Amino acid sequence: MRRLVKAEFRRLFTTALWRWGPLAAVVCGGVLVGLATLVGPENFEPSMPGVRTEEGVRTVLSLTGLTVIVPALFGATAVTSEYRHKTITFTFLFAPRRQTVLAAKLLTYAVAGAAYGLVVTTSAAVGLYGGAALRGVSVGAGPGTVAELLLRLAAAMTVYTMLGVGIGALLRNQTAALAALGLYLYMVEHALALIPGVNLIYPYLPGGATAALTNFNLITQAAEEISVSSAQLLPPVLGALVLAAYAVTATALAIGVPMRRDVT
Amino acid sequence: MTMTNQVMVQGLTRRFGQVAAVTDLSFTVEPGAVTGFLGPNGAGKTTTLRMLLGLVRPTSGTATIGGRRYADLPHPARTVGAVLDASSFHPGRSARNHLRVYGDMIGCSERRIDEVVDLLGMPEFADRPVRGFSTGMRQRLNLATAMLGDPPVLVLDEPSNGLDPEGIAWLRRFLRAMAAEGRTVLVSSHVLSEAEQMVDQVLVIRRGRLMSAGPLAGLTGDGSTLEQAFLRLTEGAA
Repeated sequence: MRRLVKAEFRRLFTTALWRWGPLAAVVCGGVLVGLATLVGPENFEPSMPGVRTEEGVRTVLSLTGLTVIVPALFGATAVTSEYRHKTITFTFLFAPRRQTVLAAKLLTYAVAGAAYGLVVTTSAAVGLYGGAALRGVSVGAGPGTVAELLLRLAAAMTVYTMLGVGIGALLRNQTAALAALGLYLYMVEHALALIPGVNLIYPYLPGGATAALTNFNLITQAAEEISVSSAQLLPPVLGALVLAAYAVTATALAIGVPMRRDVT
Repeated sequence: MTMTNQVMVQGLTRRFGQVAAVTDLSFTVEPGAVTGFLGPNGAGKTTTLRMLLGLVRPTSGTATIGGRRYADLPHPARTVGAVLDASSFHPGRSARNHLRVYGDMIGCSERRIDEVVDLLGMPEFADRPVRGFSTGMRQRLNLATAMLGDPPVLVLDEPSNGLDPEGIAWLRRFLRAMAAEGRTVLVSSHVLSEAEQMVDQVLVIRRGRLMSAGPLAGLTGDGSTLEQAFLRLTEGAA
């Protein structure tokens, strides 16, 4: 397994893709949060509490939670790129026990996803404090609260990267992975959250679990305005566990079903 | 008799829905010779080789190397070196880094990477991205990947496809040298005139069934070319 993980890291660092990772992380973290802080949530439409309040700080930082599709797609490329360039043939010849290949990819991308998450959140912190300083506004949350929220976001990025690996192994095609993730994260789940009755399961869906983990979600807030029966989010730790369960399920599915498929 | 490097296929069958790609195929491939696995396109050569290497599941029957299924070999990539696609590389990765990735998977040293780069005559282009490689350069990189584990068995699917005459002559010398070292060499081809120059033993397959197996001389001994012998065989079947 150590050899396979070493090979995965080399795979990752010997193409140009990984160089885009830190850039994407800074855009999804620092740039997004910096802009939101500079504009100020009080000027959002609808208006929200400003960054001098703790709620405002949460709002601004949690915007990065909307970009989880980026690490998920990054994780998906771990597998889809191998099918696209047919390197999967050599890979399975060198490691015919295919589950070990997937396990090595998950481990590698968990580390890479955590690194991505830390760049996102570190740059987000710079965006928050930098933006607030530029506007001459004080940050309405203590450093402990900010750090905790950022760590939760970094954890979400890590789990979504692993989820992406599982989805990539299931679908094997990057366009299909993009379409499935995009449709699900930005349409299907939001639609479910708005339907009375069905929205009771929303806390257990990946988006609801992410919202619980990051302690904020624009969609549930919108849903609350529309529907009184909007579901209560899970406690953060439970949210993290639910997300982890999704990653494990995706992986188990990927190992159990499609990895047995013929490679032609 | 040693089973170590013998390839053995017994009753191998694969159906894709209603289509029988390979039907009850049985043969053995012995070390120390180049064995040609010959037949027209669509005869079932690729499916057979992929079943031998555990990439495609047989409907029934077995395929073993030294008595074990590929996936059950203790060191699969150190036992069999295989090339199944004309080009299966990430275009942005250099040849040397491609070899390092797969070398990592089986614990090859940097020295072994250098050795296969030299063996396949690739020092001039090993550090360039694969994107700009010619067919011949890709085929050398394919074979270099297969040779990483210094395997006693080589399985190559249509290795001469797209090669120019110089490349084919080079490939012939390479395969001969590998067989002379005592390795088992199994090479598929649909271009019989090329195969004739390259192989000692032949397995002829058509519509998923074995038509003939034995030394090349057994088919061409009467002075006919392999192509004529093949047509004779297939006409008899039709």
